[in-house]
Amino acid sequence: MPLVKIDSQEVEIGKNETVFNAAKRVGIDIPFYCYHPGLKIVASCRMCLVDMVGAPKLVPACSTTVPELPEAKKIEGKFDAVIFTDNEKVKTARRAVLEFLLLNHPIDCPICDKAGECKLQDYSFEHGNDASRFVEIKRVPQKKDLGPSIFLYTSRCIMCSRCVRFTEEISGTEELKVTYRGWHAEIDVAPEKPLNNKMMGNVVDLCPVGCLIDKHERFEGRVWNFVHTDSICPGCSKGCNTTLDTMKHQKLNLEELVDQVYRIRPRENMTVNQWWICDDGRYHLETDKKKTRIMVPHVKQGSKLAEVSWAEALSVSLQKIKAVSTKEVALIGSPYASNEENYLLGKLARLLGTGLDVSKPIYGDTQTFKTDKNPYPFTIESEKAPNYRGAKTTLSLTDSQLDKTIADKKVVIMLGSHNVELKSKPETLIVIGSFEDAVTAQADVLLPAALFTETSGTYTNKDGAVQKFNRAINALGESKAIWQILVELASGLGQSWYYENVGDVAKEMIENVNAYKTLELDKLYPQFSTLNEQMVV
Amino acid sequence: MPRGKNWVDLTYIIPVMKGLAITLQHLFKRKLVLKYPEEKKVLPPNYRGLHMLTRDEKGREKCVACEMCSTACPADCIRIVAGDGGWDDSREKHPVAFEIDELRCIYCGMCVEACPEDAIDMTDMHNLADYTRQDFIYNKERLLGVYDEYIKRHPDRAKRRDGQYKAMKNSSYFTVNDVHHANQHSSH
Repeated sequence: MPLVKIDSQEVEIGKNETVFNAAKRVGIDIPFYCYHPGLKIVASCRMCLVDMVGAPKLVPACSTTVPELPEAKKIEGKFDAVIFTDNEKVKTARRAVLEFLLLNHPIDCPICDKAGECKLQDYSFEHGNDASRFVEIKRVPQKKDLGPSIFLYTSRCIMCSRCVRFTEEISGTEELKVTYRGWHAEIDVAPEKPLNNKMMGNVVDLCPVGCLIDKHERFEGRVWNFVHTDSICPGCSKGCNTTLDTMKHQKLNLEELVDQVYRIRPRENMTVNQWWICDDGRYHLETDKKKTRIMVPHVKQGSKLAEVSWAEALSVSLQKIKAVSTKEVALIGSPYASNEENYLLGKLARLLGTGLDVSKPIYGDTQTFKTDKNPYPFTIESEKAPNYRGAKTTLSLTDSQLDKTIADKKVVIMLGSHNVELKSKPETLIVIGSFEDAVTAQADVLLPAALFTETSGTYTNKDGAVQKFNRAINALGESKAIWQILVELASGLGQSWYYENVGDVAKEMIENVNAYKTLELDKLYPQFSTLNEQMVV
Repeated sequence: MPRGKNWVDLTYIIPVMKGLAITLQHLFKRKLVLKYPEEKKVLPPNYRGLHMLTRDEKGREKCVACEMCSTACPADCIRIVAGDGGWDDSREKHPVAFEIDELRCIYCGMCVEACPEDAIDMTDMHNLADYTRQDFIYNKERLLGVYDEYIKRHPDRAKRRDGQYKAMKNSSYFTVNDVHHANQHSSH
């Protein structure tokens, strides 16, 4: 393997490894715009120029590999290349590149949504000049509407072409192209062919400046106010890793919501979703906003559901369960609930000797984004539930046989409703759900459950990867996490369970579920005691 | 005798006369107290009183809702909700709501320092009075009203502000100049 000296560090560099990656490996940050690990290397931004001894001029680190030299030609007797990433020559080049990039940039940071996480800002601050020598009139092309959810602020563009390469290499839809040349070069779409595919939201994350802006998130909030929480997309069984950006508005006496998820971004996980998520997941909460959220417990009085307190709703449910023998009760798990919640449900069913089953997930379309240039085709799974495999594992079931299970049951408790088709309505239907739908309308008792953003837990994706999602915001209205509701129900049925937080449930689940024996709790729940979902039973 | 040395000390005549002499001295000194509210103090131009939101030449608020002021604010008393200025409007972003809690504010002037658009400034108004705490939360319309009132009393200052703004607008930095093909892109 060639031996390289980068600044003062000696690095062994792989045969096809770029200088950029080798430097990154030893902790040397080289600034870049056009480089992205998931996209083809074009080396067009010239921001990553480094000084390679012997090369006639500066070379771009992102595309330079180092061949092994014959023994006699080695530099200083042992190196195949000596590279400086921070000498005066490199610094001058970076200053020059940034000066060029800023010639036509409008510097409208106050109104730009990227401000705060903008690479042009960061690098100008770190490597750039403090003043511009440009005295001519700036070229300010107008912004464009690229499609249903993306704006292109043409004047902010630095022509890194990441978005163009994304549509060519990852989504394969090829909507974006560079039009015109040189000074006049712009990103554009063909007339009548807007940027409209299920992966288009990713170009906004890819854009290193504020050129591509998501219409859903425009002007919603400044990025430095966001709090980032690691999460898992519940949209399908793929289980894409995401980051939830939330913001607390606790200033003044507001009339608006105080705690909200503002955007969902992909989080890198090479084995699951690489760097991307689909727009179904990205705008998942937008879709949820269209549904009616159940905020308080309801109990059927006459033919209508009436709002009641938690104590009353629980006592009504317990009364109905106790009125029949445990053999006439069925507990139904959910592919939308976490492993921990399904585990608790299974535990309760085994202890009481009731019937146990899991409801079926909703199935939709599969869509695969596949191109020759992308080694990782991105598939949107048809199983539109995050945890069907996990629910079956934790409940020790092979498949859903809902109608058969509830056929002779009088009391049925369901986790999550999600429009499950019930052939016959049982005498008493207790639903622990988040949104109103056909099943909740039939319910006799309705207990509001927290969404995936409001609780912690793990989902098992279609390939069996158990992934943790974290609570980002407080539960809306009076809703509670499903595991908390189950613990309260269990204590009413004579079980003395005590779990300080959902991590306690996970610990017990790992001990008792054979398939999860190999899981490491410390990795899933590193901040075991800070989950802040404490409750006293 | 309990204290003092003789009967003259016990009558306290000398201390009383000393005190009266000080009172007499002050009758001929320069008066420090103003008969407020009939008389009002002329405050220095950099006095930090009630905030105002300044207007541009079209009478709209200059504020672009960048939230620099609320970020800089150590008392966390500014709240801004941003909105779209419209596709054809020359301003991209503007505040739909802009609120300052004047009771929470510590009048440090950091918001004025932080503002990149010269949109928030402080006036010499300091005699705020109202009946409820809610009334001290100034919304956008009230803060613009403060500006209107302020420039009536200080037209010279408004002129100076406008001069600065125009000088900035005329520099190449802010010039909006469409290139030959900019107009061919319309919304899809």
